[in-house]
Amino acid sequence: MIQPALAEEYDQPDALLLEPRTMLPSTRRSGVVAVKAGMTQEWDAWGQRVPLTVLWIDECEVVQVKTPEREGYMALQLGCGAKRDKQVHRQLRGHFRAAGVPNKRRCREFKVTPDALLPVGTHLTAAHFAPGQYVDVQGTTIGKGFQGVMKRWGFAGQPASHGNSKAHRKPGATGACQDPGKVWKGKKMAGRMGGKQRTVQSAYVYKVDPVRNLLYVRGQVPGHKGNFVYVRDAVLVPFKRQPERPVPTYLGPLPDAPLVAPPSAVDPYAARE
Amino acid sequence: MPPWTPTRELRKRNFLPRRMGYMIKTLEQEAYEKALQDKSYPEFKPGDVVEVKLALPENQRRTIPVRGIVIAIRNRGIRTSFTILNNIPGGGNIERTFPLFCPTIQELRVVQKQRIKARRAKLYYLCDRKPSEFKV
Repeated sequence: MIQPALAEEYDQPDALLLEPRTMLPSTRRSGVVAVKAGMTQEWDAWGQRVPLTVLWIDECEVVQVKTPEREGYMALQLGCGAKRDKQVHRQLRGHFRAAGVPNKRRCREFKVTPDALLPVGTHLTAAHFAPGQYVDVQGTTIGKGFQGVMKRWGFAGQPASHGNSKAHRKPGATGACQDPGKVWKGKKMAGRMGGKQRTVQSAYVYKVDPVRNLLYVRGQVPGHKGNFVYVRDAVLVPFKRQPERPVPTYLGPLPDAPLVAPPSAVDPYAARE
Repeated sequence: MPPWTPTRELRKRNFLPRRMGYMIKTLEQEAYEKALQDKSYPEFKPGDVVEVKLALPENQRRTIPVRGIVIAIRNRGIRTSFTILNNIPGGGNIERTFPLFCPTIQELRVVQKQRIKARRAKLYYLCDRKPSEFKV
């Protein structure tokens, strides 16, 4: 494994060297905090319609570097968005001022391997992700309020007629008889639905716009428009299926045009024959 | 200010959901203007007879013509679509809907203007009429 170039004393995270390295199967890069903008569509090179979710990276910077010596684990704390001084309480303001970054609206830690560490204040742009790679997108799902058992758990309900008395959308029986003589804990029942953190795994990055800091991801992503999501490399996709990705992040000059994922080598329409 | 301006540079009007709605609108408007430049279609209205040359992707992109009366045009920028109605002897009525900017459409040609004198925007009533009225 490549030995990372680190400063002797972690109290000076600025001393971390910022140099491009090659990605290994064991490398865990940092993720990114982004804002879900909404959904749109495009037609790819083969003529297939691709539904896309647009994610905007609003000045995502490294706020803190966590190390095994001080905190007990290795991670990067990233911040996204902005807040005015009066909106941030004294302790948080001190935290950002010590790092030398402007006040951030949302912070999140990402565990990394030593070769993917970044110094405090590094900006992560959309070019951190390569078009054609797979990512996991994590966000808080849309809250649905108190919902019945048919919507919340997909229960079938009961007949609409044929003598049914006031039990069309109820759960029905909740257990067996004298044995066990109770209702099991965790029994699926009506209750609050949504508003939880969920991850969409292995979402395909279709297009990357480094100038505007936009990520176009195929399919849907949890949460409302305007909510924060956390994007990182997919954990379930094998290393060989992912394209070349920059480690620790993209350090070169930003390309001025959006980068689209290369189309599949096989015509998706011809494959049926 | 463009919608992708960092929030730090904005003093007012930095409510994220509304800004993101503006962002999507801007991106789709850009895509629409670019599509209008790349593909220039003639003007057509409901009631015109139109011939569309389709490159069938499932048949090695062979070009086939599809003809019919335009009975509906749904204007939604990049997602604009139109519906064509025709009657094929032995096949019955055929209604086909196409996204206007789909790459499968190679060419669009107006064969006859106002075959049906359309007094409304959507001519769905033609489907219930005798085929001789709209057969092309």
